[in-house]
Amino acid sequence: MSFWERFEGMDPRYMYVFLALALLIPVFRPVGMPIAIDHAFTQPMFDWIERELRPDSLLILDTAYSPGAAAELDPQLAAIFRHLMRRGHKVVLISQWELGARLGTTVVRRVADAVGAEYGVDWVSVGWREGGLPWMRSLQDDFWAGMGGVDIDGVPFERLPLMQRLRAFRPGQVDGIICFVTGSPGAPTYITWFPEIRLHLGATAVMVPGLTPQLVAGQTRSLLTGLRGAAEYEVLIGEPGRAVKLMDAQSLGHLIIMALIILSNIGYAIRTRQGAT
Amino acid sequence: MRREIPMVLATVAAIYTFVWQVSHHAWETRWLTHTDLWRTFMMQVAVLLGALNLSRLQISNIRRRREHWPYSVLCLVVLWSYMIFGMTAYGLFAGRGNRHPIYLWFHDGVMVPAESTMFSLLAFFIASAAFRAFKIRSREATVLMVFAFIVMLARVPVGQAMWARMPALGTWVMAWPTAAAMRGMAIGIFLGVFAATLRVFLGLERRYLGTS
Repeated sequence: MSFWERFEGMDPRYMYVFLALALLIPVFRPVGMPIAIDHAFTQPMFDWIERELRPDSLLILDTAYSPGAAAELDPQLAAIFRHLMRRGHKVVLISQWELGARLGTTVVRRVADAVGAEYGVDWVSVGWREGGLPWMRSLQDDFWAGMGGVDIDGVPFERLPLMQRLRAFRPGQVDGIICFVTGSPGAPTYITWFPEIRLHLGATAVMVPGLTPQLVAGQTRSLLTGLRGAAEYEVLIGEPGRAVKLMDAQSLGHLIIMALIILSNIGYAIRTRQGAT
Repeated sequence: MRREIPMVLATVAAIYTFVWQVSHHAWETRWLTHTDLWRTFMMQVAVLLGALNLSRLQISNIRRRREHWPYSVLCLVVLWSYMIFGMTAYGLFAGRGNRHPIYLWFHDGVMVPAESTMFSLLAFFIASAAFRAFKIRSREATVLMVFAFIVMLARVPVGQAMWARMPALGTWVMAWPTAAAMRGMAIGIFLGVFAATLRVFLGLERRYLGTS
């Protein structure tokens, strides 16, 4: 048996070890490679928050994801929320996914504590309610009724000053939506039923090809792409965090996968040629 | 009649919903809000029916001692205990059960790490699958691989370190060829869904009644 034949029949567990090492080593010994900003996908989100939004704007942040996407979307959410608080905007956190409500609240609460944002005044988490699309549409008529009049922890909206500004999920009361998506329901809810409100997206890398047409068409104004998007945003706001640290690991992980593909193809080409002769 | 009545009901409901969804009058009169309420109510009933049906299936597995029947026991215990606990932690049907600390602990301590772990394992399976399956067997496969490499390199800093314009090339690939292909797929999928829906509208699709 030749080397290439043995290589092609390699036990997958060796590959798992290579990949694990490729992902772990840069975490402990980061290289710190420079990160370029994507001017089509990421920059518009930053410019919108930094320059276009009028002061004291109210934004809806939708954490439409589950723990599987948290590694990519939590850093995006943290960086954007940090930026919004720095610019003095207000945030109402909602979720189309049940699990996303708790995840998003945990992330935002940690950042809010760090930047001194006050719950009920600067931000509120209203959580998730059963009902799918009809529930989301009902918020256009009466946000308070649609949410049952309480936040994620059962605190009545009457006791949260920020909620006095949000009676209906409509333009005039809501200045923009940032939706963190990993599947369905997600962006189509807002593209279809809330077209008057400016929409920005943060998505897992695997979702990006499916969402790019909406970006090109202008239905969404920006699109943060996975962990890379989070890293770019951390660089833009001048506060490199977890995403920036993990980009080296992602670099090495991609290189390992590419190296494996190239090597397996060399083996395949040699084997095919030997078979032909 | 057992087949005709459900068929008529499905057709009438489908046409009614379709017309109201595209009607400006429905928006102006907020009539959609009423249909939304019905839909929400029916969704809750469907969830309950689903839970009951799943339970019936699992009980049948346990009774007949089918293969892996202990998992059926586990499924029933998790399904009903978590549901009952969620509804009763603050008093039966108080609507506050999902905020109980113990209930949340199950979510934060079990659900979150379990799902994160499952998703993380995908990276290892992808590496293994790419190694075994991603072979240049044709010109199309070669094009696919070249573009896959461009996007993979463009999305990480090492690509930029190799060639400064790599990120811009990756963005171009995503914004133009990929977007064009995804649009084509989306239109194709829509036409397929529309054709399938039209069959339900016209009563031609009857498989949901248990007949071909």
